[in-house]
Amino acid sequence: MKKDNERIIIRQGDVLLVSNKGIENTEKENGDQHRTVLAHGEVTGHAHAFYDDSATVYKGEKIRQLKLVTEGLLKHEEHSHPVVPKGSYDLPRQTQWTDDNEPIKVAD
Amino acid sequence: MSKIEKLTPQQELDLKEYHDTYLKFGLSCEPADKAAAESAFSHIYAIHNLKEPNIIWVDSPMSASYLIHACEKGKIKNFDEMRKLGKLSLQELKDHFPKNFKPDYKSTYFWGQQDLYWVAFYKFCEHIGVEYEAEKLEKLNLMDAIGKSCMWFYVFENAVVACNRPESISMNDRNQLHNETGPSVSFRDGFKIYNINGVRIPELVVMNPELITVDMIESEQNAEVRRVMTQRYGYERYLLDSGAEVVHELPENYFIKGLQTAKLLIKERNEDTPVVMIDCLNSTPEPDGTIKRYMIRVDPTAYEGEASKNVHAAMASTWRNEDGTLYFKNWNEYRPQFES
Repeated sequence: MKKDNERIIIRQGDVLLVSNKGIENTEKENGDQHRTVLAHGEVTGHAHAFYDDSATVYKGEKIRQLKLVTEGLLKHEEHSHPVVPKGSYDLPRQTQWTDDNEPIKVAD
Repeated sequence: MSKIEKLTPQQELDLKEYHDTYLKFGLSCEPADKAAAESAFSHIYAIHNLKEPNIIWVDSPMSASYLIHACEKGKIKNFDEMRKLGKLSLQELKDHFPKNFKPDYKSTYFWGQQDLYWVAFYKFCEHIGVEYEAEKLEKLNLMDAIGKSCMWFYVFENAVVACNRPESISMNDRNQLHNETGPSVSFRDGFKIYNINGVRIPELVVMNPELITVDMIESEQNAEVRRVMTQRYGYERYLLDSGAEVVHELPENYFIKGLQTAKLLIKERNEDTPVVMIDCLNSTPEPDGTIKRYMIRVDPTAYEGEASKNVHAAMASTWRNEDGTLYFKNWNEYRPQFES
């Protein structure tokens, strides 16, 4: 994986992982039993997820974050699967603009 | 009487009960309780020293408008005829009068079940100990009784034209009138109104969106209605069909795979913000090897307006923090090394 100013940016559909300097959030998101879901497709039921116990997602008022204790394979039913290096990441959300002049989440 | 600063726990519970009860009556689609309403109408006329009114029931404010207009134009002879016409469907009522007979939509100061929002406020205050003058309380109780019995009513010196409750009401989760596949409110005489997220729109926009044209959208004067029409038509189609301008396009070898051949489209709108969209390639090919394009609407003001000039900046602006603010401080920080 190439690095750009030490920052890793990985995109899978409407999910973006941007490496950060460490996890600031403390509250963990409740994951599924066998996987850690970064985003659910609302209409498709598909999910962007890690299927091992190396990943933890943290809630945050400013930004959701991801901790990977070992490298992991980010899977999705309709996308190819990047190997994500171990480390910590921000999880910004992809949005689309609306007539109410506010962003709303893009559904995958 | 002394001012209270907060409600007791019991009063808090009662407030919830009042809220729920009045909301239930406010949104009720049960047939009108005509006996209760007529009793209250008679009482109101009596306390104003007026003669017992003739009461004419109709099934919607639109039928009421027809009947009242017909009376004003001398086309109805007496109250018996008016009562008879009040039982017709809206279509039958329209057919009864000449084609050029088109009444103005009549409003009224008395909204029956839709007045309950303020009636509930004063009734709850009474419940927790606020004392009203007897005469005012009597009138409040009459408005309460009417609100719990029927919808709008129109008062005249010797008559009341009263509307039945609607037959159905459809709302979104923000309690705005809303139905994408049918009327938001329908009445028993066939009168229907249509809303999308609270915006009242013509029937065609909901029931026959395939008939919407670019000309219809652009000639619509109301900005809210125009927006809903554009959404129903599809922003992507609208941009293409309306001749949106391509303001920026990236080459096939652009260093970000997902932005190769991406275009930035702008469609100016009269008295409204322009619609700015990115048109770009899916990073993952379809099973048959073809690559679909997709469009995503962006904030034209992001990155000091750069998002309305540069497709890379526009794409960067789609990535947001949880509070909706831009994630990347500068748009050119968006440089994914892997995309799928």
